[in-house]
Amino acid sequence: MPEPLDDNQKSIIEKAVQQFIDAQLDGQTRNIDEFVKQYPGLEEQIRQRLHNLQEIDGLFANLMQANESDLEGATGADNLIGHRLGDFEILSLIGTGGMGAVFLARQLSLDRDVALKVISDIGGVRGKSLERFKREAKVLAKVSHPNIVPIYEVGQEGPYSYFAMEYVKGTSLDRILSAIRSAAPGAKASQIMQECLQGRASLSEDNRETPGGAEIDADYIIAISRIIISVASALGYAHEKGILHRDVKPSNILIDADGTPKLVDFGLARAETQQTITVTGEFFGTPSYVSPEQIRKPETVDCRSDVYSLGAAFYECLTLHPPFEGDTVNETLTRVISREAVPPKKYCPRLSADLNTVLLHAIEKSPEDRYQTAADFATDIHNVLVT
Amino acid sequence: MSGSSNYKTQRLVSLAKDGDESALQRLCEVYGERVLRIVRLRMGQELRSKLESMDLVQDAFVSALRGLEDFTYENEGDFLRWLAKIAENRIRDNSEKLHAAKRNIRREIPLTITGQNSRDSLVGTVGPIDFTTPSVIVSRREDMNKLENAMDKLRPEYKEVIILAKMEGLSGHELAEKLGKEPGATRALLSRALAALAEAYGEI
Repeated sequence: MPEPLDDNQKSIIEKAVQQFIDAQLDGQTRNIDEFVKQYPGLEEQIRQRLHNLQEIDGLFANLMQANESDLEGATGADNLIGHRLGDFEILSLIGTGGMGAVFLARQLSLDRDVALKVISDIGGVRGKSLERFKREAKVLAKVSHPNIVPIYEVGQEGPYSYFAMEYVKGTSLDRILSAIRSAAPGAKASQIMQECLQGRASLSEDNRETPGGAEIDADYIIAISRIIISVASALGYAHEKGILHRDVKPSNILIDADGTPKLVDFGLARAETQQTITVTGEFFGTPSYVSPEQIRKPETVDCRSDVYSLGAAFYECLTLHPPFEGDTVNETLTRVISREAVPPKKYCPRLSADLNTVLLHAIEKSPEDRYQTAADFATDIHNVLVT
Repeated sequence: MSGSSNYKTQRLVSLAKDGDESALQRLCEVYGERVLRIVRLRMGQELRSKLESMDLVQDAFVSALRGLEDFTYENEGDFLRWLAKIAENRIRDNSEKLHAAKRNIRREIPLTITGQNSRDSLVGTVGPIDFTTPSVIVSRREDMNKLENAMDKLRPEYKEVIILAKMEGLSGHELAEKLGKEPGATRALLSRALAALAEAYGEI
């Protein structure tokens, strides 16, 4: 224990600290080490007070202003790693998106890997949309289609709702697109796609700015068309069950190690309608795949909206351009509603006139003018391929 | 404070205004504990003991955000103060109800941020994980508790001047006006108050 201070010493300390504060209030910063040297014998006590003062200042500053990292880390998803939710041990983060985070997890009872989507509702603000999400997840858990990522289990623990689905080892269409965009000119898109599927594509930055990338060749067009046909058949199947996807986009189309396309986040996107329009993908992604009616009258959308989104994804895969692009979300949305799409053949001369027509038909502004079902869309793509 | 953080908050606020629940959730995650802390610091110890869990703040917070039409985001401090003010009013309004409720629960419930009171077993095996709170605030939670306690030890006029300067963000001139004192006297008061806080903080 240090010697107790006498009143005189206490008063010196107090005056010293106030002097330091006064200087601070005048906008002068003083070096603490230098400052305390003026008070031999009381250096440590004064130093401690001044450190307290700095700590307090820091606390107030942190309290009154959010910083970047707070916003980035707002989901705090990393905190779940190593914990258990029900039957699932959370191993690592696969990705974060709209409503929550997706983890690689181990289902303990069955000793298998699963992808676990976790949605937190800590403020209790999700309310109805979370209810709807759970209801649909339960319906989905009962459907089965080779091109739909199956849902194994739906659960809740504390503020966390989660569902476990098949963990698809492989890649996704948007990664294939990125690889093609960033490939050296002269490479063939079909080749890059193969490399992606075999897990050996070098994924560098997606280079949307610079034209070029790999050449869209005939094999690639056929491979992509087959993928889209499979996804359309999955959509048709779900639509018959009364389930809409509402967020069809390249990143939701996975390709497993065998090359089988699998649509993910099926129907679950429904709860996210609002943010599909506004907050997709990254913090505020480009809503390139949103149908015009999803923007205008989200409550009226039906299966033809999914047809549109799949058409937009197909368009982008073949041209490397989304049908509508803007510098801001609003600009993109405005174009989705008001502009006519550039004929895809302009970007990709190799496309047949028929495929050009099919693509434009799928992304007509008015649902009445589009393919009325996903199956019709699939049939037409198929017909173009065989002729 | 970075411009893009402002931009993101601004975007979130405008999305939340349009009814985007995800944006609202996000704002709750980012600002919830901060608002709780601000309200707790402003309140005395007595009211604060009734504000141990996030539930009440969340309730107040959500209702504050629902009233976003009246608010235009200009800067971080204003936004936080606005949220905290609404939360505080609502908590004070509820305090009678709370009194009644708390009489049935004799013990104090420690501060938890997971959206449940710690007596709820819902969190179960998840334990003390915290999905919600900004890293900076979380890592300094202990220190924030220390600061609350230190603030309680201060004379009321010291506490007031610190809240005005450090949390309301008033300038020296505004402080003097608000307190009805000469600028020199105001500054001396603030200086004494901060020195006293530094001392009290060290004793806890």
